[in-house]
Amino acid sequence: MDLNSVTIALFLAAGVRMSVPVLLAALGELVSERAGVFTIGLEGLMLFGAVASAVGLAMTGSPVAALAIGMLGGTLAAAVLALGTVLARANQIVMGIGFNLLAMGVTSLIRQMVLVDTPPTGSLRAVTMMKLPWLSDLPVVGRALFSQSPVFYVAVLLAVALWLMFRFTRSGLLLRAAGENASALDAAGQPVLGLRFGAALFTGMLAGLGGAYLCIIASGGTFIDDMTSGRGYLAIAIAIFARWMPLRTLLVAIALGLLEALQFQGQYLGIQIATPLLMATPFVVALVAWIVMGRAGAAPGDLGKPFLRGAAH
Amino acid sequence: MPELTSHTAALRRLLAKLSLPLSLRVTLGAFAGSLILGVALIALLGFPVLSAMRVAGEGAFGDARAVADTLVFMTPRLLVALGALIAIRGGLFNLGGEGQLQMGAIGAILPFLAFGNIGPLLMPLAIVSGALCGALWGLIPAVLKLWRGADEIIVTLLMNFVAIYFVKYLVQGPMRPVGSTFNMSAQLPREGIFVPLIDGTRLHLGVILAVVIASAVWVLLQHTAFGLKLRASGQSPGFVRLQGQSAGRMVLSSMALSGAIGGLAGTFEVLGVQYRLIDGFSSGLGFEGLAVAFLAGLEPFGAVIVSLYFGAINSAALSLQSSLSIPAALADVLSGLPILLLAVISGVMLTKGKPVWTSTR
Repeated sequence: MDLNSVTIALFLAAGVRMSVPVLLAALGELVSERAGVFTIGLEGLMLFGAVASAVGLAMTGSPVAALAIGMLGGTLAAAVLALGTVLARANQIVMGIGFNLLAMGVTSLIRQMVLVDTPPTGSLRAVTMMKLPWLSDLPVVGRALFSQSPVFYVAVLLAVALWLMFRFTRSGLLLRAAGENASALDAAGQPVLGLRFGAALFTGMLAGLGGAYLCIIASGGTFIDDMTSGRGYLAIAIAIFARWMPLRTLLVAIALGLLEALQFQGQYLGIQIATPLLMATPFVVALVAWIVMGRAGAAPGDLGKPFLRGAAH
Repeated sequence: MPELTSHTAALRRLLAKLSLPLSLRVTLGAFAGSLILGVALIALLGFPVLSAMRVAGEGAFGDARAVADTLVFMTPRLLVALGALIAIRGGLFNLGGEGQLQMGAIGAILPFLAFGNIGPLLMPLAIVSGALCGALWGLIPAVLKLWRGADEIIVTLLMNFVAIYFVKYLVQGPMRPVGSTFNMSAQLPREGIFVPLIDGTRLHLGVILAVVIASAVWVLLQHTAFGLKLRASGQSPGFVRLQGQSAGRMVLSSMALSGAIGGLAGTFEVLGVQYRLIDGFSSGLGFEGLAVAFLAGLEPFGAVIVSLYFGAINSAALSLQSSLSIPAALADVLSGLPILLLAVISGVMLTKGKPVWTSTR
């Protein structure tokens, strides 16, 4: 077993690469949860983003455009979902479960009706790898962190931006108020439903980008039915486990990505575990983290409650 | 004329009794709406609507084989729904039907792998073992909730995927017969399975057992002290505590029971349909079962009717695929739509101050 720096760098790079879709979705989830909307439909939003990006790639041939179309697809799907959960005050859990079922069916239909004979062509290089100048030459971390897809850098910047927004800006405060005490915010004359709807759209955009990453970058532009395979649910768990904090979400998502990367790089690191068990580890670790964490920390006060003017809390 | 007024009052009472309650009207509206959307979708995709409707009807109820298929598709969805509604009526959002079903499937094959073909004892043993595996899997979130205050919604959702990957692991490794290249366990002997009840159809004993279990759940909820306590703890946990009842025991027993019934869904799939443990035997059955439970208003007999509809949709989708090449994914669309519509309508009624469900369950 030779455990050299290249092996470790490759392993870290793979882990970071695996973490991106879940990281994006988790960042999206924490925004809508902070605004009081529990988006169980995250898995479905990712699927819509993935299939939209595959259609986009088939139509435009440009991977950048495909990612943008994936984001758009996620946003549109989120608008439909939020029409129910935010505007019509549907039960957010029931709605989410139904939405995920629908998403499985609709995305599979789109694959079979629209994507039938359009194998992806052309180079995806523009979105799969961007070496940052001189940072990528650093030993180990250069390959692990600075030779990634540009989408990863966007995700990191987003995490920082969200942290700044929630901490220092008025819109961050308003969003948090919509989730903590919607009635008080409403009494202060602020548009609770508008804020929640906006947050839900943002969630859809990020989940859509996460799905598009899965489809365009992680599987070469091919959409596969149910290709998210539970990542949306994992992202929900990460957002909650990270206590709705963007930077913590970033770290947790990467840590779980490393576990997933063991399936590719594990044998070089001297770790021999069957692939299905490794695929299960992020879920197990998230569960164990929950157990360790226990009751600590408080969720947004109005999380999951549809806003009804005049309803008692 | 006092007599006439009393007559009209009696008539009005009779009409009130006959007229459908709001929740039922809303649910029927959701189904009708989703069927209309489904037909519109078929038309939109450029398929012949009329022949599609004929094929769908024949595929779901056309002959004995079609009816049997519908019932066989109904069974796992009904069982997951029954398990889910017990927990949810007790105030626990058990979204872990898929995982409990996977564990029940593992439990179904365990006795055969452990003891070999032991004759007529094998099948009952498999049922007990499947229910037990599901119950144990359901107990984990209950214990975590009581011990660590972990929210059961997230725990059960996560555990679904642990179970799915665990089954994948078992059929790729430990349970795969030596020399086999397929991701499945050895096949159960004929003594250990639900043999088809009618020749030429897939109708199996699990279908009947599932309906019996639905009746048992109804009796349990409506006519036993346990059911009363369960419903009380769902609607008003504080009241149960005031009565000096242990809320913890209720959490444990309702989740164990819920998990056991969810487990049977997987057990019956193994004993009645697959005859072995196989990767991907459930394509989201657990989530469909949850949708069934919500659509049924968390009522056991409602779940029978709704899951029958889901079964019909699935066997109709197979016919549509084979005779008109309409993708069977249409079944998922038609399973997701009614629950979405129901959730939206209920939400809108809530904003108008007319809640569809009188309790928060």
